[in-house]
Amino acid sequence: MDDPKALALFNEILRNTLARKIAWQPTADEDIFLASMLGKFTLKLVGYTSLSNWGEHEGPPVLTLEDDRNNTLVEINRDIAGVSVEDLQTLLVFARRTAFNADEKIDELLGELKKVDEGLR
Amino acid sequence: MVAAWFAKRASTAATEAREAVLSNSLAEEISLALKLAAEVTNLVDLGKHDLARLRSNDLHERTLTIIVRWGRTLPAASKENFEKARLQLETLRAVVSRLGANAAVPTQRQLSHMQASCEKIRDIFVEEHASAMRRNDEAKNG
Repeated sequence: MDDPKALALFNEILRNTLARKIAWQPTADEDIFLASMLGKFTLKLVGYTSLSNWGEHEGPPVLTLEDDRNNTLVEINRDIAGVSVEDLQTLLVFARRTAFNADEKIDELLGELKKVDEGLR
Repeated sequence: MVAAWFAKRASTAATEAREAVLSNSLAEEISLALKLAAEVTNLVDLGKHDLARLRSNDLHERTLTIIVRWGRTLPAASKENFEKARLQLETLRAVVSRLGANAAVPTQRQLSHMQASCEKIRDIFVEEHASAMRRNDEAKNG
């Protein structure tokens, strides 16, 4: 489906997420992340398209924009022309990284590993 | 002229009194929400998913009431906090409903995500209760 506005929105969200400029928050569901925007919009990133009868995750991630009355304004999935499954997966990986402050933890670990490496020389 | 001065003072005093009463009600409303949030946290810890879902529904309703009733007068940061609580609650409700429907026991990882979400919700109400009380004190002390 052609939806240039949805594509433009997705590209901006992906760019800002990669730049760690969107404050993604973890939720009670380990595969759902939320971000409040301008105090009246919510970005909801679900790591799967649907749940099977057995509760298994099916399909690539889906991003939705909701207003403060819970109305879904846009749903961005792989059916939007220009949005690839890989882009959606990238968004999920980096949203998760922001939500769990993973960058700081990875830096800390890298620092420790470098110290160990230097100690062995 | 003196009458006009007294009338203005009376009007200001009435407005301040009204704001203090409204502010009190908000603090009370948040205090009740805080108790519910603590209850939801305990029920999740105990694995009582059906009860946790019911209490999450109650807390969600109360949060919506706070947002709708006081939305216009709340500071932007507080409004955003209540919105965050509402969104966290919606996901929590979905997760406990799923677990309750399947009579499933959450994995350690699922449980830790649910507990973290409960803590986040509770922290929001603790913070907002303190803010509402502070605003009350400021209104009382002029």
